[in-house]
Amino acid sequence: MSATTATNFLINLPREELEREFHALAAEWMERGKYLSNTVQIALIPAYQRIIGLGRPVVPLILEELRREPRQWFWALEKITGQDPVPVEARGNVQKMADAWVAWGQQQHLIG
Amino acid sequence: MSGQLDGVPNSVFPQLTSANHQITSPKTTAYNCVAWAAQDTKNWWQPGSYWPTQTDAGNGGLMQLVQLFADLGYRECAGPEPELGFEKVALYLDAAGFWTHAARQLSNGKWTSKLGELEDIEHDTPDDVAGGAYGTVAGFMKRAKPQAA
Repeated sequence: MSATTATNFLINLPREELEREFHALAAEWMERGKYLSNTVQIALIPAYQRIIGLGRPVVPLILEELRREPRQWFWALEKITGQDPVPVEARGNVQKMADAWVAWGQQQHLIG
Repeated sequence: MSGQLDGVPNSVFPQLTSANHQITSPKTTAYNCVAWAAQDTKNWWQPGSYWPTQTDAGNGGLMQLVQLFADLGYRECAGPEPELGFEKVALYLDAAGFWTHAARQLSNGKWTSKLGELEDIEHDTPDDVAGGAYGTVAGFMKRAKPQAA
């Protein structure tokens, strides 16, 4: 199966299955990544790459996770959406970066 | 705050024991090991996001870390032994060539590390957190301690 086929299959998952898949991958990523500090390493964890492969349907789920607990979801959000709403003065401050993405998600009506 | 890390697989920190470290902070995602080594607890230091030097954001290699600490006034040195008037950092590298960790020497000669999203710990030697997720100690850098006002 090609990577493209796999991605198409995943993004056509029913909502509940998509949520289950996302949360399973997110838990795996958090478990494997919690010891790491280099965001390049964190983003290269296979579960994180698979989340990016799920595409735009998971953006609201990522934003909800970010609202629940700020962590290094920023790379995935940038890759999936092509956006970066974080102001220069907030870069590095994980809480402020999360706040900027959550506000962006609300403006886009992706989350409440 | 004190105690030892709990529930960490031996493969992650195979040389860390209850006798050679103690926890010194709560868990937090606010800052990482590089920030902690540079004594910043407000930012997660990462090229492309927050990094006080010019680097290739996609690289992730050891030279990013070496250049960073050079820009902060450090220069490479021989080893971890305490030197009067100097503060030291240890830099870590994995088998794939990524920088993995930075630890800072304390005035008592021990070392302090922020473990990813987990706690800060004080540990006896740089090797205590090597051998697993952080790979090996690639080298040491030192700078003169700032003069007290």
